[in-house]
Amino acid sequence: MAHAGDISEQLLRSATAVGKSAEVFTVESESRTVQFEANQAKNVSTRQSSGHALRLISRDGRFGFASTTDGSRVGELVDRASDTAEYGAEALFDFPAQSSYPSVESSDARVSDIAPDEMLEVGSDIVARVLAEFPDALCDVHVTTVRHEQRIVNSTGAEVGSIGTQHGVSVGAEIISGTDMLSVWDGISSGAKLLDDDVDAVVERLLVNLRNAQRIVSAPVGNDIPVVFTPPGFAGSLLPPLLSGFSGTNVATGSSPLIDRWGQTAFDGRVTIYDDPLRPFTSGTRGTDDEGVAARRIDFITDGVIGSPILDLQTAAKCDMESNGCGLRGLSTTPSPSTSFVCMTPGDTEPELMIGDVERGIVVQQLLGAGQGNQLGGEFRANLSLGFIIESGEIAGRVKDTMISGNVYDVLNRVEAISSDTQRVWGSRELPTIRCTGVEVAAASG
Amino acid sequence: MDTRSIATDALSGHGADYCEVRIESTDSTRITFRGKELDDLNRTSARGGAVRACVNGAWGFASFNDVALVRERVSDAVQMARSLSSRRDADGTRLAEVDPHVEVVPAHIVKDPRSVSLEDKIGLASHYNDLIWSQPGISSSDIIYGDNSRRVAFCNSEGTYVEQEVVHVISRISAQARAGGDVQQAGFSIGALGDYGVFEDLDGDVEDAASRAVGLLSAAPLQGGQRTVILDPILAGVFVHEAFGHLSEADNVYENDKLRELMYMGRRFGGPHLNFTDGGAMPGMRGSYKYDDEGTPSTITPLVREGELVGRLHSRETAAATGESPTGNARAISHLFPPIVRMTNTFIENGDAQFDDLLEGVDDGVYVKNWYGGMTQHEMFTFSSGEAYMIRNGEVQEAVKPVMLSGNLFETLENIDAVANDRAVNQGGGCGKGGQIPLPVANGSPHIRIRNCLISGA
Repeated sequence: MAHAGDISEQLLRSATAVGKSAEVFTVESESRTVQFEANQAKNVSTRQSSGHALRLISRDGRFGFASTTDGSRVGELVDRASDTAEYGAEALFDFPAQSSYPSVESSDARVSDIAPDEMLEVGSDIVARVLAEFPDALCDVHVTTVRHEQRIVNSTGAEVGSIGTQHGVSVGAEIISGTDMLSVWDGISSGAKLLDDDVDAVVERLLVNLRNAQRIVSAPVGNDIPVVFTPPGFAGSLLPPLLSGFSGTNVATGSSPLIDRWGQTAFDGRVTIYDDPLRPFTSGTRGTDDEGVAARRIDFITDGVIGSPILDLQTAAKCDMESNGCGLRGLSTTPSPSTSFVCMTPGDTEPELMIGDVERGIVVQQLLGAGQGNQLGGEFRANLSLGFIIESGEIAGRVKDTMISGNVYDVLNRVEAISSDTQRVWGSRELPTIRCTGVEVAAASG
Repeated sequence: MDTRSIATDALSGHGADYCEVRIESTDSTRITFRGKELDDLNRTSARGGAVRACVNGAWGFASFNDVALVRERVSDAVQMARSLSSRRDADGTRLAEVDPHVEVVPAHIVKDPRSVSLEDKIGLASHYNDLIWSQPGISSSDIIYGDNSRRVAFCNSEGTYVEQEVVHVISRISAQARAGGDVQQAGFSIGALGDYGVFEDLDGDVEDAASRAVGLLSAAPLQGGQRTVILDPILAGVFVHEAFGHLSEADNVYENDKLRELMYMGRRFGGPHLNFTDGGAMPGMRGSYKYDDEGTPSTITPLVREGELVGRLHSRETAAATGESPTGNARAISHLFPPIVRMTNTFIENGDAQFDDLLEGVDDGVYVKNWYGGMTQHEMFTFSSGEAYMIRNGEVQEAVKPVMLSGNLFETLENIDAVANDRAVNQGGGCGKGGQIPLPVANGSPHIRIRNCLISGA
């Protein structure tokens, strides 16, 4: 990006001529997707995009921001950012100096070399394997490769560049029988080229879920039933309201229910959850955040005790704390605190006993409409787009027209068991299966 | 070279069955207040292009920033489509016929947000924020104001060249109240096509949201289960979008024979009081436009008439595959995406009942108002209310915590037993599908009553 580098330096010079300090964020990305629709190869697409974003702090200490993907309008950025700085938020920090950043493995050159034909082969093979067992299924498959390059330079002297790659496979299978429409999906994404074993695991999980879903049974209702959250079920229901409490944005405005509870025990002692941006080859691997602050592990909950929020420079200043390197952004938005790779420490229950130990219970695998409730208050509620009934330690069948609801601050105090294995959910989570009570289950009587 | 010449030139000798070019530029302003202060102020411009080519039913798509390279991108897209087509059963490229159009369509403007100064916009947002904070018990607030203008030039290999400009204004205002670990929020969303006026004169709504947030701290939660619910026009609009609109999008059925058998024309979904309509040709709303992103003129499509399925929404490809007429519903959120079948302005038409008629005889029901969100997966859908009130003995009584409702297309529509005659429109929503979110849409309805509706616990 030598050419882009020149533009950055030039922007920085012009911006500091009118403002106190400035930062230029430059991205360049290329992606390719091969898509199968209804079992057939349907679409190959490529996306190339690049752009510049300028953030400046005016002489009277206010933020200005402007961005563009229009190469012919980069020259306007300084004026437009200056315009917004007239009314902008007060800058509570200055851009950071160069520091030492942990080295991480975020890119794999082999990903960019994956040819469309190879992606098509992967897709065809997945479709064939699903159809071999479920000939009535309609499969949609996406195989994607991404290469993303970005650079931050600021007037304090920091200059940080990074390259990330992603290789992802996702599969959805649909089977219609009468007015019943079963949809099951799975997928994985990695910074490194996926291995055949990675893709096999995705297909195998999909097939297991399809097998378990063949029989429809009615759901038990009430709030004393053991509920097993599989890793995707956990990621889709409990995790979003939990993480909203740790967001520096919500902590800075006082909206987080955790603001006066740091260091207190609030969850079952077996619950340990953290963000690990340094883990190699995830979709969030990074040595620095998008403001030039070094990345590090953030401990949200350790043995049930509430740890730290995720912070960027501005929210950290509002909270009288230091940024912990979580300021992430897209090109057209200013940084905000975000997670990278959220992990939960596994427990000690053998995976098969998560279900095997349950007389009558429910398994949460896929959710529909999660995230619509009062997440800030810790609430989750959703329709089970894929959920199963456990009877005498075995999956008895799939439920329909069933909703779950509860509060994560309550449910994570009613943990029955945590599995000793974990699963990577897409590219940004690594979670065990957990079993809890305190979840309200409501179902249509049919 | 002007945009038309660039696009036309790029398509010459393309070598595919069909090829199209879009060139787009956008300018956006966004103001965010979070808590007591202005949190973010953002001005963004974007320019880029997209090329789509079809060979033997296989599509190649390329999106890019550097419009100077459009000719190269055309040949990339054609090459991708060609290599993919060899892997498909040879069924040819079938697109419904649309007459070529050449037109420049100016933006629909009532009060242009671009003629309002940044200072005035920030001043008004700040005023609303102060109003929220003047309410005792408020712990935080969120105000988002955004406007954008988008100019798109569309050119295809069949002689269509259309330039269109659209200007949108949106806002979401919400207040939060907190008591210990209990955090509650209440708010509303608005939007308009080309009209800054929608953001003005909101004092009453803002004060109402702030007092609702505080009131929710003492509202009782509802137990999950099935109940009679009455939906206000805003939430009923979200309901028709989620419960019926998505399954009307023909890309669900055109390659899915079993679903097509279920969604056959003439199928009965409910009583004769059910009439649903979608149409981009309805004027002046957020889902309105003259041509879709394939250059097809927008239309108004009756979806359900007197309880029976009578129509669905199409792109040129889905129309050809089903033997139905194109409806002008192929939309792309930006040059980063290909057009796919989407809703525009979706409505439940007026019935002949009064609101009071709906309340009559409801002894243990819930009146749900305002929206928080909604989602669909084929026949299953969920949507969330922003407000909920108990109904007892035919009267609306105390507020309870907002609820999520869930249903199944084949049962819930049958359970709508009354439709009022007070249709209203909600333009504050954005629809998501295939990664393309938020697409501007409008939806609306009169009050409706649903028996035995599944409600989540809260």
